[in-house]
Amino acid sequence: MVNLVTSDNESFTVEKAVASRSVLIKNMLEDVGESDQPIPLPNVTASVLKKVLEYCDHHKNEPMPTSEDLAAEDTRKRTTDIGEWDQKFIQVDQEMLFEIILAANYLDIKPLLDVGCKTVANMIKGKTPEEIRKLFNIVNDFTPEEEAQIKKENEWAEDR
Amino acid sequence: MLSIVPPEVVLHIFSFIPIYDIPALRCLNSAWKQFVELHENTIYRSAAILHSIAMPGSSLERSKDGHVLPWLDGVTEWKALCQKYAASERAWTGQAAVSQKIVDADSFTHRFKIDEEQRTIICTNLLGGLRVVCAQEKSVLWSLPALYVRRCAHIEFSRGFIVFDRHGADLEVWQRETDYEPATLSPIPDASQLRIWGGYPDQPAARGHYRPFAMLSNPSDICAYRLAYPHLLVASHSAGEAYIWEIPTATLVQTLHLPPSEGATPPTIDYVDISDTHVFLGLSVGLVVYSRLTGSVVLEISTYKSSILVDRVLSQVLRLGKTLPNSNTAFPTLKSHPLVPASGMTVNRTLIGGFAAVHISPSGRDLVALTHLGLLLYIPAFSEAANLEDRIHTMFLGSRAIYMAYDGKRVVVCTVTGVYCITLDGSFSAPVPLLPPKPASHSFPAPSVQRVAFFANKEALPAVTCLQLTPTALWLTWINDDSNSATWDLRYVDFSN
Repeated sequence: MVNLVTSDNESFTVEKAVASRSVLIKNMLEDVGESDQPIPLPNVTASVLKKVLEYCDHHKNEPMPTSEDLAAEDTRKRTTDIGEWDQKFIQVDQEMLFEIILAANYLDIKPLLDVGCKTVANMIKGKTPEEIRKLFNIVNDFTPEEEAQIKKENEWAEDR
Repeated sequence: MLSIVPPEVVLHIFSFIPIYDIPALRCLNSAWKQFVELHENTIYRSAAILHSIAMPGSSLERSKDGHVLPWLDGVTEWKALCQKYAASERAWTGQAAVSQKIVDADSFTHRFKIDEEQRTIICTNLLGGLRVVCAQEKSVLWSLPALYVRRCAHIEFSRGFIVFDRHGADLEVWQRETDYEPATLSPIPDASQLRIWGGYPDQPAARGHYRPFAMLSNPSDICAYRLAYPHLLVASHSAGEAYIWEIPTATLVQTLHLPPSEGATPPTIDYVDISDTHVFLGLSVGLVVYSRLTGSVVLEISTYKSSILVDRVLSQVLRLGKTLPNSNTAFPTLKSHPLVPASGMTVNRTLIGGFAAVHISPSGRDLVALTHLGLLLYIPAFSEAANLEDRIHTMFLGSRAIYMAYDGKRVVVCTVTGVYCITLDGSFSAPVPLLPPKPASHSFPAPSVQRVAFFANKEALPAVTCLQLTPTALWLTWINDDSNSATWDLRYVDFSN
């Protein structure tokens, strides 16, 4: 078992197989060897870690991406499909979604990072600029002239 | 989002966004515009990979390679590459003008194959002989004489190898000179091949030139063959068999037997294809698919045998409707056809009789077949047994089929009434579509059916002897009888703008 301590000082005790889905934690465990020392995770809060561990627990028996996969990061199939369980798992509010993405990035859990990033991409896809601004609370600071100019530059992608 | 997520993660998110949604990202505000412009190359490179127009890890220069037409030659940025592809996709779906070009005028070309890598076209001739011509400027790079290669010979090309029939049951295999490696242990060519070649062992290799590789003697007369390197499939209807040859060693590795025939005379084999896992035979009585692993039939759509699949093929058939009156006024080179339900009167079992062509997608996943009477079948993921009948889509082209080409993304069909470009729904094949998805108005997963206006001559259409498809062009042989004397050209329609 591995003991993880979050930024808000909560501790989680999980199976090694679950914690090792995080390449960061896996490397730490390999570095320190057998030890009961808790592992501090200063960038992750308890509510986010709980969610991340739920993901790790569900996927604990799957093969880890090999070092070859990671070196050729792009060779992963670039579909935007998300597995059924993962889709349900990632149905969270936007704040939590970005928290999960940041945690997956920090903890180095590539498949979870992909699920999060694909979900955000799916939210953006097919939307007008105005709809995207609304989605992420983006304030439009362009003058009408600037906006017209950008629109003109974008014409190539417009559906006729 | 830009303020809370590090740039590399934002770029990872963007890597899942299709190219047509990227421009919106620089319209949001000045910070987003700056971010998109700063990382433009990275963003469009990821998009190119997402849409499978570039291989992961390959450079822009590498990604431009392998096209017979020079449409990407001036491209220096990933964004421009993506734009070129999107523009071509628009042309294929009738949203841009296309033009017609003659490659080899008055050439009496019978069959031809396109070598995209070397930008050459390998042609057999109505009058005999074989030649390799440059796809751009009209020049013959290499040839075999008419006395050596029979009239109207068929030809196959795959990965630098050509196969053509000479006489009887013999097939000749020749290899591109530039691919020849003297160190490898290769089969010994036939004496007649060596004589006609007249080369010497270490002569310098030239573009478009071929050297003899092997002669394959089949157990009985042959009627159709297909090369998908490293395998060659050869069918013999006199023997009711199909043979699989392994090209590198020139050995016969598998023999398949036709299912027992229902009629008095054995069926003819009109068309064949092969993938890594399956063999596809278009017969005069139906379509048969074998598993190469077990040698047994895994799928059969037959005129004589009732089955749930045949019922499905004949139900929900769509046919080509009349060209929309006010469509394509801007681009009259293509005529858009709607698909409408076919009435029971026009659709019956006789339409299944005889397959003119059967093609497997390069991925080995999706199957397209065409009957002589113009019934087109599209079966995505044909080897997955679950709900197979729901995945059979049928379109009736309404006239006799002449030729078909399929590249996994598009089907081009020549019938006695026209040449049709059918762009298939990308959600069925692996790559993400280059244009925004449109809701389909019908059950056949093809958002666009376009007829090429150049090819309307009802006398010339039945004389088309070959039709090929590359990512930005369709190529065909065409009789031109506008002038006093008829000429027989090799032409292409350019969809790359």
